[in-house]
Amino acid sequence: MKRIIFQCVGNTLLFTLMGLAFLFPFTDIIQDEYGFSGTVAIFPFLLIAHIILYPIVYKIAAKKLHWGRKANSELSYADEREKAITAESAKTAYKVFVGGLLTVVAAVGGFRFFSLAAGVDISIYAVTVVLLVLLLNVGMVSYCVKWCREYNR
Amino acid sequence: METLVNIVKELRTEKGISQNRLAELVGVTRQTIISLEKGSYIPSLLLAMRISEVLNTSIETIFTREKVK
Repeated sequence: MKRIIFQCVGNTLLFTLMGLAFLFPFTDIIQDEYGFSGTVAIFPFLLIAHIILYPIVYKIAAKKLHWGRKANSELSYADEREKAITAESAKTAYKVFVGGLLTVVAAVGGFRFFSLAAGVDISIYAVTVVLLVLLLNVGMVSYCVKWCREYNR
Repeated sequence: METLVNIVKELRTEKGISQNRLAELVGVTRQTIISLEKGSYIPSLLLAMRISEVLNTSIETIFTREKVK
């Protein structure tokens, strides 16, 4: 269970940093006829640091907490019961993702319509990134919660 | 509706085997043994056969069907 919580926290952090890195990649952007210039913000660096450090921290935790090689990756399982739990949790996450994606598409369309109708300048890119990151996090957390609940039954 | 009840806990304690040891012998995690003993997990036929071998008792004796309302 610790492994699943660890993976969930790691993934949630990854999705959030990814969202922030895509939303705020640069600061002090200056656009001219040749293109643009600016300073790279902190978030892309944090994202790269997470991508590099997370597998190392995970390996150390796996060794210390004896997670074993068999159940060392995403959606993996240590025995037949964990396999059933993983399948159930994946089903829950699938429902969240499919339902969520439909909602995101509708919401993006809604924002676009509102932007045109009200004459308000809304960044559809930013809205889409925020909604997708939220969906990824909600999907990941729902997978983790379902897994832990089934595991402790 | 029917469910499966078992006497794994009784047999295990009788034979002086810990949950950890039984889990190792049948190739599952300790949590699976805990769930199995609580009756909240119904094992596969393969796992049931392994448990039967380790506890040296027939499957029919370990696992019995019970009607639930």
